[in-house]
Amino acid sequence: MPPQRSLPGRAYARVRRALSRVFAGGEPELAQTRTDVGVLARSTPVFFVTGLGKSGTRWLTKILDSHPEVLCKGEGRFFSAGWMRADLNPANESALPNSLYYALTHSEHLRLWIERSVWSRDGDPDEHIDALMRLATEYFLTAELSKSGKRIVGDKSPLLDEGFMQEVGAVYPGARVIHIIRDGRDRTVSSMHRGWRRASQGYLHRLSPEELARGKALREGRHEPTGAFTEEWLRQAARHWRLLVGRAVEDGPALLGSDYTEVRYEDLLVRPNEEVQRLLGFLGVDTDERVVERCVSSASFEKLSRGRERGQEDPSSFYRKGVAGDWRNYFSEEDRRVFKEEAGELLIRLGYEEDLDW
Amino acid sequence: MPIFEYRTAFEIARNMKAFLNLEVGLRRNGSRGSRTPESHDAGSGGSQHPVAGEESDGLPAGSTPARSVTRAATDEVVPMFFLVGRSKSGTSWLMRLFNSHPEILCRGEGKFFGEGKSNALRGALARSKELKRWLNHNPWTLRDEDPNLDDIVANTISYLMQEKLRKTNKKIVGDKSPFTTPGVVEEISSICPGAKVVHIVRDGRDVAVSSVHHQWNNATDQGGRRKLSREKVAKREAYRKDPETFGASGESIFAGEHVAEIARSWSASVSRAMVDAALLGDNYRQVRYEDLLAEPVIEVMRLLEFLGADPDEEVARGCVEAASFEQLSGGRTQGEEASSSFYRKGIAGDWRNYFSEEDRRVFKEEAGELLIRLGYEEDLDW
Repeated sequence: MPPQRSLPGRAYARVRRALSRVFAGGEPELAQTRTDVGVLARSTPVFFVTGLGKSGTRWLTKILDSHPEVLCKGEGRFFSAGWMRADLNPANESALPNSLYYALTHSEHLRLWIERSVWSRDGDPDEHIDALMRLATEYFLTAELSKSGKRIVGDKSPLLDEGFMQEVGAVYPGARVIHIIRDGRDRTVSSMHRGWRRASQGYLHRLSPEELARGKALREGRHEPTGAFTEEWLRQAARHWRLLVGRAVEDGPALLGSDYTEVRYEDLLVRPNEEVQRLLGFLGVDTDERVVERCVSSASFEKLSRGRERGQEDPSSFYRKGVAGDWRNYFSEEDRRVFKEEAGELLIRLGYEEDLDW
Repeated sequence: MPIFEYRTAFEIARNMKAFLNLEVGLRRNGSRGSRTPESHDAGSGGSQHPVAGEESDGLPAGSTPARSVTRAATDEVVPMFFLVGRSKSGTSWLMRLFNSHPEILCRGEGKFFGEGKSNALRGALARSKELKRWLNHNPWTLRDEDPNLDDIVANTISYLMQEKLRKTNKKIVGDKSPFTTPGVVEEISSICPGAKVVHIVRDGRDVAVSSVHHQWNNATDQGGRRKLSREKVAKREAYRKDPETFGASGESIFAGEHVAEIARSWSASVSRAMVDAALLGDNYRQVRYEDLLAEPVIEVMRLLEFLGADPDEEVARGCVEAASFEQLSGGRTQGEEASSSFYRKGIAGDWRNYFSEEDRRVFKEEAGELLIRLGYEEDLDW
């Protein structure tokens, strides 16, 4: 919508609004729609699929969305008040937004209003903002749900900062969270490829010239002796995984209890039906074997990659390779040492390794 | 001008609806998404699953608790209303009157409406660039022309008012929303479409006199926040020194263009609200300050019935007494003036004691027609 509408444009908008009002709720007897959605929201099960980027969140989202009772898509970016988008240029209209929670907690005007209005001033402003956050999240999710005809709704919410579980627990008690975890080394390889892919397609990226050069060398088959990563990049990626995933696996069970569950990317690969059935049960929807099979097959790697088999690589695709253990093809001895230093303990805690001897 | 455009559009739409003879529930089911098999299959590309698109409330069939919610919810929705009016028209009086009813919680001012006002909820949210960006880049909010920001406003209003109501043993909740922006009634109709609106109207000339006193009392030198011109301060001091002499002198209490400004804003905001009332249909009631003075119990019973509260005569009388001038002013009788009190005098027709010939002429010019339309005068010969 252009910022300044022409006069006829405005008149047209008015007519449209008047029309939609009469047909969809301007008349007193038709007026309940909005309130209905609000009330519906209060008892509709809502969940969030989270996980660090390149850990299979999108794959899992598709699996769940293929279930006839589940609406799952993303990214709504409801939570993560601490996360700031990389591109702060206000003129860049296509840049990803900060989260809704960020927007609500950073609006000075809203806070002032809450502190002054006769309906809110005697309460704790932060509690009111949390309540608004929950209401808005519920409202948008359930409004779409009611249109879809499905029964429960979930947003794919990537793990963007360390506060995710805390925020969900505080703002949205009762919401369920599925946390998908992937071996940090594979995730790192995947993330490196993502960076190279974005750079080659002209998107915003944060790779240094040397990191780009390594990608080029790899594409040209000159894997040795440079390796895929610069030490700095690898260290940072490993640390990021350790901090965010490490925090989430601690906070999840502690703060959300039985509303929290985890699934490993690797288990989803090896025994998809079993894992999907468990997750569907966790969400409280139909776990019939045929339904499970349908979810798994409609989000298979072949389908998502439009015909490639798992392991058959296409570096330019979001669904690049879809395998576990690919890191072995990329990590040099030095890379292993760096990763162990930064995140070796978490690999053991998550069961990917038994010790540091790898 | 846009008001008329809008009304015309509204009328056309209303007639079209009548013409098409649409069932009340039809469109609602549609918009709540009674889903078609196609839309489902497109998303999941597979076998049919038993999901009820046909069910009357548009929700899937099944036995889980989430299902029955909508229908139960409609009964559960708390009746909300807004008390509107030009300031100095008795909005605070009527608010207290309603609030003394055992079933009604009425407070003010919530400052919900006013898209252009940063100190209003709607204006505050509209000013958040981050929120706008979030709304514009979101897979959950991409519903063609739906006013998503207003959805947040609507949710917030009903949440806050209902939370307060929940802490009382009352059952109806209302906010006093004076005309701080001209489009309050239209905003209410679009943001809170089921809400009721009570509009209190007062003779604009009395409003003008009351406004002057109100300004005097809220001047910075009285501990208020309004900066008064030197001329206005001089008028106030002369009046307060000896109101009777001041009145007898024939001097106007209005400084400069003040009476014209008040007449203009009174006429504009009151007529706008009356036009926009068409958007609310049966959810709108008007009450005159003067009728509330003359026949309080009858008027209050009528309004209580409209709001869905117990309209029993004794209850109404109780409300009237609890919000009587004596109560509100701390013991003065109506007409006994305390120039510096919010509840200054509380009578109708006081303007005759203040208006100069010139004030009358100016007021007639700016707002004479509305006085006739509201029944305060029969013509311009006064």
